[in-house]
Amino acid sequence: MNSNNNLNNISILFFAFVAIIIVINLFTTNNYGRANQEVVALFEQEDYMFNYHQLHQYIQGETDNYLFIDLRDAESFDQGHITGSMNIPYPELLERTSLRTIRRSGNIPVLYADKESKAHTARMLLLSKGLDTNIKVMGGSYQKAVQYAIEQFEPAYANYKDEKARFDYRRYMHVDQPAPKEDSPSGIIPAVREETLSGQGGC
Amino acid sequence: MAPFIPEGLVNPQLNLFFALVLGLGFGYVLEQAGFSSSRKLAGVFYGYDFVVLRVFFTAAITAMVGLVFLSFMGWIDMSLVYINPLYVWSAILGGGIMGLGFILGGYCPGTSIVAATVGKIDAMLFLVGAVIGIFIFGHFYNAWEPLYMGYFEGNPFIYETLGLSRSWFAFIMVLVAVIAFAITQNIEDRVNNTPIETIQQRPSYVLPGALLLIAIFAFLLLPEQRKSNARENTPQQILAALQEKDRIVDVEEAAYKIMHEDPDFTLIDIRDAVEFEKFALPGAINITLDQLLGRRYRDFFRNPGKPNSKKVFYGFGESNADLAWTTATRAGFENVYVLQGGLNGMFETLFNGTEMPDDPLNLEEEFTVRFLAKARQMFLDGQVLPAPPPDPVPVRTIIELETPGGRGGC
Repeated sequence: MNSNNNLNNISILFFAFVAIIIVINLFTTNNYGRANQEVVALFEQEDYMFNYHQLHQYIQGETDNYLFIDLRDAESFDQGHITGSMNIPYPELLERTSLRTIRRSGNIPVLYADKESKAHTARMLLLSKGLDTNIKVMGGSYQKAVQYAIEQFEPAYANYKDEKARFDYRRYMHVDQPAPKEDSPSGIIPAVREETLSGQGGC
Repeated sequence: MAPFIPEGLVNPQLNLFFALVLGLGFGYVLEQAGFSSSRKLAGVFYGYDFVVLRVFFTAAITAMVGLVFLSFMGWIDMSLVYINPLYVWSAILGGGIMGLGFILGGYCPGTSIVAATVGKIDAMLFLVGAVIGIFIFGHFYNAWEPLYMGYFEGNPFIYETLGLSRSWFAFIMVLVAVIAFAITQNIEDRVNNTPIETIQQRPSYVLPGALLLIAIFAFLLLPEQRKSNARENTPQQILAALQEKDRIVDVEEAAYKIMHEDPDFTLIDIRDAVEFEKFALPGAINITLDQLLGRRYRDFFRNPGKPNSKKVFYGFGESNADLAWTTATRAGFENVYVLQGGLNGMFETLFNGTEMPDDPLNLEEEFTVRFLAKARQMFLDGQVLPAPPPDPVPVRTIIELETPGGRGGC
């Protein structure tokens, strides 16, 4: 029976050890709510852009289930913002109160800033904290929104966003093969013809 | 943390050394478990000795539970663990041949070497047979190859095929193992007509077995994988770093480095392959956001390179490059940067050149404008071809660059 006691003691010790490690592990801070790979996959999967057409509809009062979050600083926010939006300055994005507000609002959060990339990275940080994936990013910046949707809605710019080719790059930089010869006055850069862009340079 | 060698914690040149140490340990354990005796090995087929099943099943579930546990703790990166890919028919056929050889010869390949080492003559003959088999396989490989390399199924996981989660599968496997141990013990006793006193004197495995089941049940409640690992930066660190200016490489610097083909300046195009094919900056490599954390580029990103080397992300604009930057920074990659304004920003600055400053004392700005004009000219002329430049770009400092004659921003 001695061997049985040893066996039991050793197994109890072993499992106690494992349990302690698990408990310690559970209580050490876990900074993220989603693994890095999961967040990347979320960004690859769905379209999370909020376009000016939707913004226009919101301003017209046709839809109201959005929570606009202005990531600019308080000063710019005071000078003007999308009606009904809430100011969370970019550096305060991850503070407990900010996260709680975004989490608890029943509406779809829409992020915008003075630069589109800020809104994108803000969404990435929020998703990595484990927030709901319905967070949207408004294309362009607040200034662009004012220009193309708030002051006067221009359907041509409805899908304005940062990630779009604005030049025929090959005409200006000869990389592998010579670029196709086209007549264009040197020194002036024509915008790439796209339906959403009118001829005036797009930037 | 682990696996050590793919993570670069252990020099890959020591691979064979560790293989030798682990091999000796494995052989020792096999010998101690009695696997150098073909009687014991074949016992599993006749029902008088199930030690093979117990040892290998225990090894399998120990490894499985250990991996689930380490993965939960964030101590092992399961995406780096090598998994034998599945070739359906060669697996079935190979399994059949292996089983047949096992029951005929009384050894499996590993145990035959163990037994030969301790001087069993039948095991030595078995090894001779194995060598003949290897010879036949090698000599007629062309005939086998369609079967051997065909019916490739990738790396399916049995729990995925069954639609179970990893923890549930582990739980069921442990349960099956415990039941199998009990049943085979029973069969063994009946076949051997073990006297009842011997059975009663055995230690009771009820407590360890129950603890094991409780522990594995606890795994069901735990997440499969920690959301973050020790190497990752915290969200607060990333947010602070995102607001710093020096993570942005400005257009002048990028143009200068491209023109001089700086080997420590790597441009990473994060657009998709189609766009990359159409146009990319000279010398850029294509890594999209979903490839960023993959195994293929791990060494590239993990290696910080020289102190002032730069890995610069760019897309059409800055947004997707910033996303890549955020992901890379979270993963703990060092020396990653973002090209100011992306392709659009770069072309805007380069080709819609800025005006010469009115103030003649503003030398810095004047140099910038002149440099941009020079760069513009070189890009337009195609002088920054990545592969052998027809007219090598002379290495000069930014100050020495001359004003290009004629048109341009001057």
